[in-house]
Amino acid sequence: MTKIKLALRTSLILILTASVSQLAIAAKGGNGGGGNGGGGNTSTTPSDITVAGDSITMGFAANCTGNVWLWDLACLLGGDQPQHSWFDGSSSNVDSVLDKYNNISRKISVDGNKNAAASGSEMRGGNNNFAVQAGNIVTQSPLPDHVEVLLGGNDICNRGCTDPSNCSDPLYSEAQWRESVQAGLDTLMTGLSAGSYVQLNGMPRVQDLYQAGIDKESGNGSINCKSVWSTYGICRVVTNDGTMNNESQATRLAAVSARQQRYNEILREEAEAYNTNANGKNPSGVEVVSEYVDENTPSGGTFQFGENDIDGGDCFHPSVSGQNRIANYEWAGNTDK
Amino acid sequence: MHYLARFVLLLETLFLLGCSPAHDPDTHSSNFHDRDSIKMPTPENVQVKPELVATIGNREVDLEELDALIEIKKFDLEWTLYELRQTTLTNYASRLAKEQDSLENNEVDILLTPPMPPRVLIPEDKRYVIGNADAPVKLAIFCSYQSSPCMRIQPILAQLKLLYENLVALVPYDLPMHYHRNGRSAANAARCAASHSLLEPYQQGLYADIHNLNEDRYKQIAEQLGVPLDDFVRCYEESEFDYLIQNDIDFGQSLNAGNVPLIFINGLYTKGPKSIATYIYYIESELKRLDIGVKRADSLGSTDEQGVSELQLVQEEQLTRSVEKTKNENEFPEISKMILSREWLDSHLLNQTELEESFTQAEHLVNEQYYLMRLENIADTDFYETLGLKERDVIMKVNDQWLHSGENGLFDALHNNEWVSIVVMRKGLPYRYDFEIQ
Repeated sequence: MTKIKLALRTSLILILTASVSQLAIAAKGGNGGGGNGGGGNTSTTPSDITVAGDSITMGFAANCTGNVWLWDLACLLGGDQPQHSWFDGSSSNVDSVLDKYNNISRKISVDGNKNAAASGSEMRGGNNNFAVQAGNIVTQSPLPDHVEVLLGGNDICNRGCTDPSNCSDPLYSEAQWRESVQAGLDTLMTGLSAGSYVQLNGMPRVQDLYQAGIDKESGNGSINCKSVWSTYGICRVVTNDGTMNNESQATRLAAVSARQQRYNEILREEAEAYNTNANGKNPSGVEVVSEYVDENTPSGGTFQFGENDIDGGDCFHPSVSGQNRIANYEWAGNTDK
Repeated sequence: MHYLARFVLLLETLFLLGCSPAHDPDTHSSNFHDRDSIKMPTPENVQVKPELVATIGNREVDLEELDALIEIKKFDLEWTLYELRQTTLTNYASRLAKEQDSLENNEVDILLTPPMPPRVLIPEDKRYVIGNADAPVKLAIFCSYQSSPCMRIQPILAQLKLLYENLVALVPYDLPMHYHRNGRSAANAARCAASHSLLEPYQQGLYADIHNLNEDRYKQIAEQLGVPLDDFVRCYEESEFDYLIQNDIDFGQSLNAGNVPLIFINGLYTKGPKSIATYIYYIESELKRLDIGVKRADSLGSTDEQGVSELQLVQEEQLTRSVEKTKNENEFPEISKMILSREWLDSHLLNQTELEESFTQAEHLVNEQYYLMRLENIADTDFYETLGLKERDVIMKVNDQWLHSGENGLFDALHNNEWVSIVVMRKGLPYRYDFEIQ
């Protein structure tokens, strides 16, 4: 009788510690391995993958080739091209992460969505930042078991200067960036199931865009990058080649470069803190991985955009070729496969 | 390949619409209805005692009592299972069809149906109803004006309203999430507009730009709709209806259902944005339960079984178009719709010359002779702000005609048309604003 009571108590504890979301995973037959807390030896691909992202993830203007004729601008006005997304683009011209998953997982198809992502999103600012997107992700049904994050470009591009003494909207400080990364991860840690996987992809090198654009328009009569950047106000903190808010372009590019590197290092630091549960915020053992390693290791955060990697519409977003390169980097850094 | 894609789309539609005649929630034998039958025991099962799951001293807790505590979450799990089955079946059936090479020779009979949700008793009061207040099916919509999913669901709700006319009414409830900093103030403003019977156009104004929710914007929308401004400002500043908003929030939170939108179809719970086919399925289940023939608007079908059949075709066509569009065309990332009053517009257009001065030539030359045009120095211009336009917006198109230094059709369109569409580029991203001028 005593034994039965003990067994009952054990069961009770187990029931109480199993969250509804864990049951959801059980119900959909998702994997249980992969996470540091998962403890299983099973090596299965995820069932449902999703992403927190911005216009890069939305494939914005990816196949636009020019901008000096109105018919070319129609492409730019088209905006998002989800079919060309590095994450789950359906176009045969892009070998997306979802495509790569379904190529290795022939028995059960992997479902992917980028419902939380939206063009213009930042890691920190705005109404669809990482924290908000994470909130949307953990309420998705089915609950994703693999989440990627690719944010940060707009956090730099929407700022007016690099030195806080020069404008009212300078680059976010390292502390602000870290706080925003944590805000999103906190939500994911509490909302995802044990054994789920979160990959923080390196934020791209926006500091390369200016030179890539100049190279792209050079000798191409269908493209004028400098005037389109100026007219539309595209990432002026790096594309304005004059003085802006008392800062020369060289000063801004140097500061952006340094900050972009620090942002990526913070992504790595936070991934480690959550993955090891050193911060006590990941008790259920969600695997948190940083795709960025360091400046010497190829990644989405070190990849230098060239003229063929940006589209010809706004000379800013990744071209179809650029989307493929991003997909390859994120896939290479993906340990959940 | 094309027939296969159409087949998959048809399957998706059939899942929700055509699998079997809209089944009767009271007779279906899914797990959910087992739960229903527990609520209303029949002679056959009244003998069955629910499983005992705990004893606390003399107190017993059975499975029925436990499940009642997690009814909403339990349905979320059922929905997850349904979606998994649906996805798997779609893939599986398309693979089988491919293997059999010719779909035309194979009859497909899909029997999978969505689970019936728990029915929640929604508090009824004298709130504003959009549509027929006596409609047999009421959609209680718990939303926040700062919620992107709530914004995106508006076209679907409008379509449902058109589809069912007097059979369906929309009943808005306020549930701003804690992270929607301006959600509650916007709800207050909307309630003030509702007291002047202008909730629907006011909501459209708020949803037209959910990133721009502030007192100035609330006043602009109210003013252009003809709400007496003094009264509106007093109502808003005194938060006259805040206690009613709190009642909605309290109720919404008591459900522990999470994010908006939450939509209850005659109390049947649905969470998050769902496809229009899902809402149609539940609405028609309700109409059938109430023994009301399905009559949709003429443009989309006729009645009863024939109507379902026609609707399937419409849905299939829409889905096909939607997928093809996703694949082949690009779409504007954000579309805002707003009602403008003709009176307000005409009074502002009297100052057209002054308004035109806000257009400045931008740097970018197009077609070798024209410059794109940008709005500048509009910060104090009530007119452009009310339209939702912002400083340094580049106006690209008006009613599908390009706008540049050689052609500016904005004012002609505003003077003469009942529908005006404006496409702008803002910080490198396109936005479209659609206006209905009444």
